[in-house]
Amino acid sequence: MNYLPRNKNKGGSWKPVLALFAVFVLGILLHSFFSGAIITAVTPVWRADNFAAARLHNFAEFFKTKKRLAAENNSLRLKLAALELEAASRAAAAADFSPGRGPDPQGIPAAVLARPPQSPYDVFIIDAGLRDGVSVGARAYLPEGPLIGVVEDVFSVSSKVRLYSSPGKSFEAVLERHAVPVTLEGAGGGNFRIVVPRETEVIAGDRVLSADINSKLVAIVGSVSMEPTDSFKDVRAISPGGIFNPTTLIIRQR
Amino acid sequence: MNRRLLSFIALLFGVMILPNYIYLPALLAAIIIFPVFWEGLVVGFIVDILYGGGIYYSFFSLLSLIIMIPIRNRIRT
Repeated sequence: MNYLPRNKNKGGSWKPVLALFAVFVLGILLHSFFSGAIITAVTPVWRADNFAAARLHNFAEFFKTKKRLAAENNSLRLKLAALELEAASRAAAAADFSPGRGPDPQGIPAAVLARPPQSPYDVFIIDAGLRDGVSVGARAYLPEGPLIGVVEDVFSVSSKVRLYSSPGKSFEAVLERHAVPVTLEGAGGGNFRIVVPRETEVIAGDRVLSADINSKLVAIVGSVSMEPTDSFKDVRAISPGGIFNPTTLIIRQR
Repeated sequence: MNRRLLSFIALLFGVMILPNYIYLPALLAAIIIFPVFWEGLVVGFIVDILYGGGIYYSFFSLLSLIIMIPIRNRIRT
């Protein structure tokens, strides 16, 4: 009898693996040298997507009055909190005036082109870049006032904003209740984790502010958990206003 | 155009305009369905270039592709 040889390909699967590694190395080179060009090339697609989404949103608003009112209420509350902080900051600056440390200037308004959940990382792509005066390290604020992230990469007409809630990112802040300095650790999806000693008084709804002279709202405490045997409290905080909705950001140098 | 190329183009557009919970499972599905779907690696790199600083999703694609090669061979024989 004549049998066909079995497993003729046995041991021959290294060729596609090598080819894959070659593509991977090529991809790393592409990542290093052409990321700006690729983002610039994709920007018109994002703009078109945003335009279409805005039109569709306006049409859908007719049927979502209650939801719109809730969003407006949330936005106004954030604005009020930001104005309260700014008023406190102005009062402090007036009491102890030092040149160059006053309240922030207006900043550069920028439309959000891509945001989570489109982006799997906590990253925003905005439509302002080098041409508009955006620079690496500039801070990104919601129009209502809260501070949400920092500019990580700048291209000619767009920039990448890394949110403070990105996993692995940490940020020095202050718990407003008793002015306790804390470290906000990004937990992804607009969430933060804070660890404080068990004696520290923290309750849900407390505000977390940036640790600088112009204190800005960064997060709001969502929940506090502690086991009877723990020495520390595990505090979960969320980015005010959410990270899935913003359509505009304000970019400032500080 | 064949289905493989169409899937690649659909994934590219998905990365640009759809939420990650749609295009990432779709990417994994394409890697499982098509033999040595190296285009998935390109899609992984596009995700990393557009939205991140690292190479997490391209590495995830590479790993999935390498894992799928012996599995497909074993199923075939």
